Amino acid sequence: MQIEINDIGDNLRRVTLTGRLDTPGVLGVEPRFVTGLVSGGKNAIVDLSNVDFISSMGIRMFISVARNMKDRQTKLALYAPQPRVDEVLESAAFRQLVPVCKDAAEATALVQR
Amino acid sequence: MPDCVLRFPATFDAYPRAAEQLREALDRRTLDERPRYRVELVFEEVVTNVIRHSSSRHLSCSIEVDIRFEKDQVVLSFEDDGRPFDPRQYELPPLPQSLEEAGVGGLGIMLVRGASTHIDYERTRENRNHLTVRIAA
Repeated sequence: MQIEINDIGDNLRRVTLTGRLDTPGVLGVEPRFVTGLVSGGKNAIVDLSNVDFISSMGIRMFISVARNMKDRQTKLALYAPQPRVDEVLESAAFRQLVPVCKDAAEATALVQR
Repeated sequence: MPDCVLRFPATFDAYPRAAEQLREALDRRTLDERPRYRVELVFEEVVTNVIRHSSSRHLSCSIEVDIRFEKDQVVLSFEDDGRPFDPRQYELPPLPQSLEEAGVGGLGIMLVRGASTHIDYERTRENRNHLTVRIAA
């Protein structure tokens, strides 16, 4: 699992994840993901288009980060999940907790509101 | 007779290689994307649950996973020598309506139930957990 973090303007951070958000993937990327988003102090959007697989471990990582960001008055939105990944997010009722958008534009508009 | 058998220690160190071997076994088959994903998901959720519970008790535990490819389903059988655990008996908490309500436990079991058509469990005479999960192909 690879992670790339880019700042867009003053108040937005974009994270691109590539690979599998299974247990080894999450263990490898979580420290950087958490530091980059929670400590960053900016709203964040996460590109899921290159994530091939997600399990409960990956979902829990997003929930934990979203909760921490909310405590710091910053917002998180994910976007462009692959179909099978989207199905898992659906079955976990994930959208009730963290927004999952169609694309970067929709995610950006949502977190910058 | 299973089509593929994986045997490995119930540790996070051993898990990546076991998961890779599962994917290699799946690569040799022509499964559609959705059932393939569900097989990988069930494997991940069941095995990591065993690892988590055996490591929390500092026990040395091993897992055997048999995979059988049938005409309309894939059958995964998991056997481990950890403490007894019947996932069918686990009562799922209600779905959280907010981030604040979202708890830690139960998500893996929920995903396994959603991905499978049938789950069987028994505690064997040799004192092992034996879990069978069927996934529509």
